[in-house]
Amino acid sequence: MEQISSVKINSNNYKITFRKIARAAAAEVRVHKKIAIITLVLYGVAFLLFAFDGYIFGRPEKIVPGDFDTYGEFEPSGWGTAFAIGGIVVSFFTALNVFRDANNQQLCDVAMALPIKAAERFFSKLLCLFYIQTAPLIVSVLGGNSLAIMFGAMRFHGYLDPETPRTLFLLTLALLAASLFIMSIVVLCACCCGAVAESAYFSIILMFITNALPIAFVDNIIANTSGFSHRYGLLFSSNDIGINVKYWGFLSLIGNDEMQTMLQCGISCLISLAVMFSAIFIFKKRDARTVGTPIASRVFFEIIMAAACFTVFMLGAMGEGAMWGVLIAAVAYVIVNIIVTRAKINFKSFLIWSGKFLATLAACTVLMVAMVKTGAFGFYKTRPETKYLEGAVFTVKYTGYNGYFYGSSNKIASDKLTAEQADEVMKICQKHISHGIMNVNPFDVIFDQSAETVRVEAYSNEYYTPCPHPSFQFDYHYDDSHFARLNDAFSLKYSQRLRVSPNDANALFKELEQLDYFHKIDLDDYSYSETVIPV
Amino acid sequence: MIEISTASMVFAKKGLGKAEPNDGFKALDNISLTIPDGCIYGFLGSNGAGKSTLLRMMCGVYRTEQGSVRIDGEDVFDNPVAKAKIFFVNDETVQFTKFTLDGLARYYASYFDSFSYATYDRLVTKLQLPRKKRMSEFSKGMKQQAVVIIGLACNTKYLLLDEAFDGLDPAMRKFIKQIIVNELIDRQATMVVSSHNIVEINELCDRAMLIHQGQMIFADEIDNIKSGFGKIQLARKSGAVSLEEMKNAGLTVLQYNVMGSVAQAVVRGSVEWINEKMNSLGCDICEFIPLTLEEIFIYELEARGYGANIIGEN
Repeated sequence: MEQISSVKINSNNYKITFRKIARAAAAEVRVHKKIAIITLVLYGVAFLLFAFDGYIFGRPEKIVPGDFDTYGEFEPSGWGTAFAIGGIVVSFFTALNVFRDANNQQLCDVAMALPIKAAERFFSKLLCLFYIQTAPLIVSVLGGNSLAIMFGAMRFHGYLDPETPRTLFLLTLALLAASLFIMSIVVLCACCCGAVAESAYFSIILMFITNALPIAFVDNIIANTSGFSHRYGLLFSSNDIGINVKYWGFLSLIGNDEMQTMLQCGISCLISLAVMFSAIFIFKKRDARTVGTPIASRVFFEIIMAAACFTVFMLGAMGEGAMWGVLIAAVAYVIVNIIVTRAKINFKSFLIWSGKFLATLAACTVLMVAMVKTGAFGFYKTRPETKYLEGAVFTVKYTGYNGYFYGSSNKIASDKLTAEQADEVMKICQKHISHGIMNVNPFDVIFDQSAETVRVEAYSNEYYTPCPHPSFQFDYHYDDSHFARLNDAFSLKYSQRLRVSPNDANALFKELEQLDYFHKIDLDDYSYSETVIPV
Repeated sequence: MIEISTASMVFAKKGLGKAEPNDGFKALDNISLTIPDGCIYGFLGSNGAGKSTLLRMMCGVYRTEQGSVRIDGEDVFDNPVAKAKIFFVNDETVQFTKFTLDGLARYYASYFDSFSYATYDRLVTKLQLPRKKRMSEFSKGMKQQAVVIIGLACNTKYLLLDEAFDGLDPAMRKFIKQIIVNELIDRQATMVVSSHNIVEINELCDRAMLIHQGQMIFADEIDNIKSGFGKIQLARKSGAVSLEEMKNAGLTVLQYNVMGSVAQAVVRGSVEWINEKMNSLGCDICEFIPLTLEEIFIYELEARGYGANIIGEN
């Protein structure tokens, strides 16, 4: 007679061990063999390309020991990176497949009847993702490039750019950040959705939100309501009043320098891991009843829908299309709800959606009005350090409505100022701006961009300021004592453009004109982008 | 022993979260049942009665929010110790199609410490199933055989089969049933099987329960169930015995009809008790006819209105 399952231990003594998780993960890998092989092929090709297509620039015969400029400079293979990105794209489908039992009744029956705790099952899936995706990615990028560097080091007699390890580390970290970001989003959505379609398209929506919301909110709303240079964008600005929120998602791959990118990617990896691991709290709460229903977590659904609407409103508002933003968000909101309810709609459900949508729109409007009235919750008071403005020349311009069109109706410029004088000008400007933003209609600000604004700009005639997006620059003599600079991307030190009432603008000009180092200038209206700087 | 105590299950409309009874579909309503060790238990019920839900609850696929389901004294949901004693075969095999039979065995062996490759090899050889062929190329019957083999090879104390014989031809059905019964008897294991095929339950099981619209109608040994119902025919010269007379005599009548002076009724109760009540009605001829399990199933459900509309329309 054979022995019946001889598990004698009590459930109280049951311990979650890595051995059990690893065994379950190995079983998961075997189940997802097809996608694992596809991923391995992509990363395998990437490995070979990294190894044999990576470049070491320079001339070995010109090497001067101690002079880094003559050393070989490493550049990873572009094609290798492309194949690695291909593997990362596949991670979307890998994560979706590995968590397939969260949205398929038959697979769920198998998975949930197995003698394994929900937490073990969850961690075994994450480990499976590590085996299929993360480990091959790291081996491919680090291994392939290390080989390229070794070959290069031989050719350059060991004289390689000292920044080579940093370049390699940055590339690995950036690709890892992208891969972990995608997988964390898919894992979270698979745990919160009960159907594979919802898991997939909610992942795409969530990826859109996590990347677009910082741009929409920081680069658009905060920039507009604080008045700081929207033209260059706070997110992509290198000046010291820029805000960095590029800590999660694909935006983290864009940094102003290597160190910043590395920091952003590192933090992005940590956030992705935190999101992935925190999905366990939803995963553990679920049983097979939520499998097959489009949305398992209504809280998740409502948050995502509100955030998506919020993002689209923000992108539209204060740009050229506030109403377009509302319209697109409304249509998308209705379509997603129709899909999620599988077209089981009636008048009551339509009313509920409308109510939720209008509530989101109202919350968004309240937030934007509050931001206009408070100058991005006081962020408009942010000022560059005085040393940053030392030697700067201020121009203050008012664009008003003369009954026919908007145009510059007042414009004054300062001489080159000392730090103390710059500080005094800043204080005066911000005093009037503080008063002025309280006297404008916030809805005009949100929905109508072409209206009265006061613009304060500080330029420097120091030639070069690093800018991530340098563009065309051309200086020419305006008259004997001035030259004009077209396109001030290189020299703009400080710019604040805010809507204030005409009275506040006049008060500002009156006070500034009393300072003996300010003088009124009269340039043609087409000189909108010109700056007059004393020679 | 599997003990189900006042278990209820509601499928909520709103996803996660505890569902209120009025907030969705109540699949199970206050079910209490004890399945002793070593028996073969049959779950009978109409379509959508809650058989599969109850089986899924018993193997921890569904969380028990009201009441409890305990395997050898332990709650089953998210409890690997209790789940290691159960193998559940559901009514679909589509989830296994990308496995080969050997691959499926390896998959389950990763999770069940009690998996026996000796049993697996013996049964695969006996049923002559291809080991290396993908199960997507198997016929429906072959897939069912494969899953049953895996279930037996897992060597668990309890085997739960949800309409597992449906894809099999009659000869294979008999053969598989024989294999299962032999294996389980050898191991003194317990099997719970749900089926619409009442003849099969009658042949295979020593206990059965009937469930309808989430509520349990009866659960007992099959012999006791059969002896608890009967069809009576009563003839009286002075006129047929009316339904009221039967009820006044204390009989629980599930179905009643009359042809001339002969009344026929399906009643609940033991043979002795029914005979005693029949005799009190003063009939010229009284006859007691035992019911088959299938007849009991049909009469019980008809008494609850199941199929009445369809019968009425026809």
